[in-house]
Amino acid sequence: MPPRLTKEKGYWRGFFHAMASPCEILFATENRSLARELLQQSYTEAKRIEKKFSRYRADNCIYQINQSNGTPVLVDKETAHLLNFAEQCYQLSEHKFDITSGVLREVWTFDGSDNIPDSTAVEAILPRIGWSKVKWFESTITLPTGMEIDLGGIGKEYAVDQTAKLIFKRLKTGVLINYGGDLYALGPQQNGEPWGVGVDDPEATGVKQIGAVNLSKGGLATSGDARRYLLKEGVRYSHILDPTTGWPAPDTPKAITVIANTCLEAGMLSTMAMLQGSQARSFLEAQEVDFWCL
Amino acid sequence: MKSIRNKLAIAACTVLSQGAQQANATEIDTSYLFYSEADDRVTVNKIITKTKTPLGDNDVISLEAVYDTVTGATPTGAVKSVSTVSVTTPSSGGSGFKTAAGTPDLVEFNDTRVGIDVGWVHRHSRTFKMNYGASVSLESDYESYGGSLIFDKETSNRNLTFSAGIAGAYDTISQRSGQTPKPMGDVQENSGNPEFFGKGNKRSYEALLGISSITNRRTVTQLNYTISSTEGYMTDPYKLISMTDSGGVEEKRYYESRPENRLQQTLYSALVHQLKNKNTIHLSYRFYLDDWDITSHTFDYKHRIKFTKNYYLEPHIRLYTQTAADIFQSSLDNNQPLPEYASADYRLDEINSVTLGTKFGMPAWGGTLRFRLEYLYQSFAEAEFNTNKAVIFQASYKKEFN
Repeated sequence: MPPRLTKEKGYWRGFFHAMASPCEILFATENRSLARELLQQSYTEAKRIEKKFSRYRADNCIYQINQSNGTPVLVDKETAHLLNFAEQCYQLSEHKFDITSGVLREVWTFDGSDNIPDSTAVEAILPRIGWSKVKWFESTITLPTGMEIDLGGIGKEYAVDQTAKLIFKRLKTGVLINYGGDLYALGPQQNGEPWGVGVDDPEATGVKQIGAVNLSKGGLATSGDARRYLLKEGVRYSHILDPTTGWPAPDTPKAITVIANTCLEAGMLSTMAMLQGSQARSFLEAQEVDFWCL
Repeated sequence: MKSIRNKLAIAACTVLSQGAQQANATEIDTSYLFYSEADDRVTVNKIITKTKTPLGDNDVISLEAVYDTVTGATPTGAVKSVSTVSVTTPSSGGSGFKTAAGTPDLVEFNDTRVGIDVGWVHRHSRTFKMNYGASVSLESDYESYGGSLIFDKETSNRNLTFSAGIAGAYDTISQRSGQTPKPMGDVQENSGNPEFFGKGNKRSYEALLGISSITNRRTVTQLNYTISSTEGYMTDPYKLISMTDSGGVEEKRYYESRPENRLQQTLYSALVHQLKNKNTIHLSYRFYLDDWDITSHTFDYKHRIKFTKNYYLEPHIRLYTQTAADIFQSSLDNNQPLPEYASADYRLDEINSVTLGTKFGMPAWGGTLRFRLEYLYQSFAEAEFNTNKAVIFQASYKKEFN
């Protein structure tokens, strides 16, 4: 479906689907053709990033790396930058944010049921997780057989920030980019008012809001558990898995929303906070950022 | 809980500042060059187009096409004769030798050359590149096919680059008729029927070692060593050498003859330095040595004076000096037996030459326009035509396309 553009009061609203999410861009301008052109460029960029970094495709470098069976793979500059970033996040989160943790999906399926995996099955998968087992040097990545990487935890936020950069070159008035809940505001609305962003109640997404945020400039991201969890014997198992144990981080908040300079930072802080489980709030307080923790 | 916010902000800034918006531009550089020697000698008109296209982040394909026409006359090597010596034009084929009586010491020609050069640079890792090259050059009397392979390895801080490479070429040479005269053959043998053979060919092999260094923020230095070995037919099928008596009067003419092997070595050093006022100096020195006894030194200096907004002027001076080849003789002595090898080609004589010129660059239509004007003066120690003067004019336009 090609991107759609509709006129709203004071702005043009662009909409399309990419990266398995609804994507929305609000352009604070009256100039329709400029909004259309920027929307088209944004759509192309989002699709490019999706195609390049999606682990669901068989024609990109992620697939090539995941199918490499222990042989070194040379990556391009952009992928190298993202891998460097992922590595820094791995270290900053004390190994809790790990792009190799995706193989846990083989045992964990978060469908709301009580389907908790066997602890030996979880145990058996742990040797295939851990960025420290990956050789990453000079644009060349060597992934041990059986391991996989997934940039899904970074890609959408990265696309938001890259799109903001792209739009900023042409439009100096305000823009709000919202890709499936990962946001970036480039400036306020035409009347100078900040954009109003509603924070959803994770248990009633789209129906009930539990707060509103005013955003003029900066990134905002939300990590949450809305409909992806397991429930057994009264215990809620979050879909946020700790790669160091293979089990959901205990006592995670239902949702965390963070505001930071960029969408990438906001996204990483909310994800890392989730992985802190019951410590999420004190982790966020130490970061001195605006956040909502439910 | 410790704060990771600042470190995360720096990491995010790095990934975003260098993300997707990289210049994957195709560069096209086209130029027209005019070279004209004084006294109606050689005139060259040349069109060169170079393109460079990045394919992704790790590959660059380059293509260079050259089309040139060379017209005029060049010394045959024979002495300026007093008496008339008729020279045959070998069988068919366009212009061969000028047969007008009295001055068959110049050979007229009119030739067209087409050359194609293809290059591929592939980056295997952040600091390791391979350069593959192939070239073809075609003229009616000269064909050349070549290939090269060069490795570039940078140190991890990228301050030093080491290069090593090999190259090879296969050339075929003849007169336009497709024939080559018998080396040291008498031009008038059997009353105008000298002995001819088919095309000659030569093979050359080259090895290269280089190092370049970013000495500091404003200085780059480079040192290259090249050794090449050529075997095969290296005689110029058009060049003649006169046999004269003690008074210098021509008695007979022979086709020249050159050895079948040549070993050449070159040491090249260069320095590029940006001055505090943003002007740039390019200084290079080249030392050349071969086993035909030629030694040469080339000094080259360019000084780029930058004005505002990409306007610049670049004065250029080049000094060249060369010793004569051991096979060089301005003429043959009629009291001596014919040598195995001898050439009166002025290019093998002792040479001193100066090039003076300037280049002007300016932005135009989103690209760069450059004009170059140079004057070349060459003097030869013994050759029959002992000076050569030429002007070179070049206009180039370079632009990037996204």
